[in-house]
Amino acid sequence: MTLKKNIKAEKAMLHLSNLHVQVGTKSLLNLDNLELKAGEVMGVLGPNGAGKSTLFKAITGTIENEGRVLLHGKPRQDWQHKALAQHLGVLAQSSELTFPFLAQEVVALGLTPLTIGHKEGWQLIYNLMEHTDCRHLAERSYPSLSGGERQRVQLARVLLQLSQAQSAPLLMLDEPTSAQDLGQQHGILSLARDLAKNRGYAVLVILHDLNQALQYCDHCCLIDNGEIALQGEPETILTPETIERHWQYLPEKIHMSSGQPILI
Amino acid sequence: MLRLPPALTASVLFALLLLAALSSIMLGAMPLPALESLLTVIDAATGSAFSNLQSYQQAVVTELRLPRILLALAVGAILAQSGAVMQGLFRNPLADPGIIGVSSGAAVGAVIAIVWLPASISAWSVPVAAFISGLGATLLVYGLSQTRSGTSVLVLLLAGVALSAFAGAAIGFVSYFASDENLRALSLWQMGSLAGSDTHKILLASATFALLAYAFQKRAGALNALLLGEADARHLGINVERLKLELIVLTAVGVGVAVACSGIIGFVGLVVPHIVRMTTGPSHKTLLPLTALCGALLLLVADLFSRLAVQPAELPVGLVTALMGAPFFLFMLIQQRRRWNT
Repeated sequence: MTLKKNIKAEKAMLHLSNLHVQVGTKSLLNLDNLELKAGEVMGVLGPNGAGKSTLFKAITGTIENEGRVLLHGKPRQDWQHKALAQHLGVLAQSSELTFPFLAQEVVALGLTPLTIGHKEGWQLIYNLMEHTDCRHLAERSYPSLSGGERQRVQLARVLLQLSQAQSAPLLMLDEPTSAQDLGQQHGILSLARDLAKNRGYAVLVILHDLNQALQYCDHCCLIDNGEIALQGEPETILTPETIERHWQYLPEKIHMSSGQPILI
Repeated sequence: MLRLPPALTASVLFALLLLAALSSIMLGAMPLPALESLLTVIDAATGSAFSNLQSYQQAVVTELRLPRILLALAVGAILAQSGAVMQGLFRNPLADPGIIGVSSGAAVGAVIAIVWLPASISAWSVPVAAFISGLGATLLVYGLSQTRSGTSVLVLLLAGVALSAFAGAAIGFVSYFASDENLRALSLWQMGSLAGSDTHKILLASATFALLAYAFQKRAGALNALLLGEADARHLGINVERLKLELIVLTAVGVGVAVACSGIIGFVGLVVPHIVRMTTGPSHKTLLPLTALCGALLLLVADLFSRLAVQPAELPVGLVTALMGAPFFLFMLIQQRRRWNT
């Protein structure tokens, strides 16, 4: 993975203010203020139907919304299509493909907004497939892969799309671990964290496993009923009491020998 | 997965195309020798006089067979490419202009133009009318079939049934008012035929093909991205709304011109892209040019068959492609059945 030059951590690479999404008379999202800095991993938590995916769609502009979405201080709609694609990558929960593309061809679609040579491009493709642990699937037909395998192939595609970013890119992951086995779950989150810490990516990740949030996120925002209920470091906000309030389940918080807290 | 290199496939297709073209010049109600008929073609192209054929034999080559071959090539390539692009646009391998009712829609416009718009207004009236009603049909089918979770195959196919039924009724209605002279032209033309080929049609079809091939190829990468779904394509920097509109208009131009030149010739746009995808893979960058070659070949062979099968009479070529294509369509339905239980 080559990222152009050294990306300096800036103030708030993503800034959302007064974001409202309304469908009919129903308000799906009502969000005053949210900031994400380059180099940070932010977990988006909340019960089903809380508005997490709606938040993602509002940020990418897939759903009609009011409010401001600033990327590096510039409103999203003022970005050129291709430049935006190089700085904003989204991994969907699942992606179907009707036609029998090979996994490596799917990853290669990440070259769409880029202007790099054929040889360099394919080197990057295999490199990224290695990182997302799907290099061995390169010659397989995408529709024949399992859900988790497809997701890792798509992740490689998204990372390829962001690989030439001129300033810190925003990587948005919608439940990247839901279809993965235990080892892959940690592999993907470690990779996301590594990209944030060593390459300055800003990572926004929807998670259902609160222990993963505790382990991998710098910040978390807890969304319920379309509003931010709590925001802060995962250890501070993820107390048994808040969990019971929002998920109707009272866990016990214990500490592993490493000091890492876990919720059971 | 086993795939052939695109260059090899292209060479094979090209060789077959030359062979089919040569056979089409030689064979028919009046068989002609290979070398002499080739020389006749060269004479026609360069103005030389190498051929030793009788003048009526030369006329068979230059006035009957050659124009048909050229029209078959252009129309076959247009239909196949339009089919491939529609399948990409709908993200479904069953989207053929004939099956989803776009050809029938275009036919309604063409029939109305033939019967009610005197050719004296403009030689363009038939293709333009076919394009406009074809565009309307495409927009209608596309609008209907788009749901939140993508293209609904069910709506797609039912829209095709409804549109074809409506078109059948409309054409019947128009035929009721048509003169006897128009009537035979209409009925033949509904089944698709290359028999009416002339310079005007050849020029129109080849110019359209050149335009489409260029415009489609430029959008091949974007079409590939579109297959990921509209949201992902948008995230990849594709202006999805504009791309969709451009593709719909371009395919409507293609189908409209094809229908105006040769009537409804179904299944070429269904069968050809599928075969090419199986041999060389689904990327539109290779799919589109190979589809054009393969479509030209298929229609040429189908036309040759239609001329030879019931000599000295001939079948409408649309019947031949339907005979080949309909079983193929059934086969694909069976293949797809597992995926759409909705």
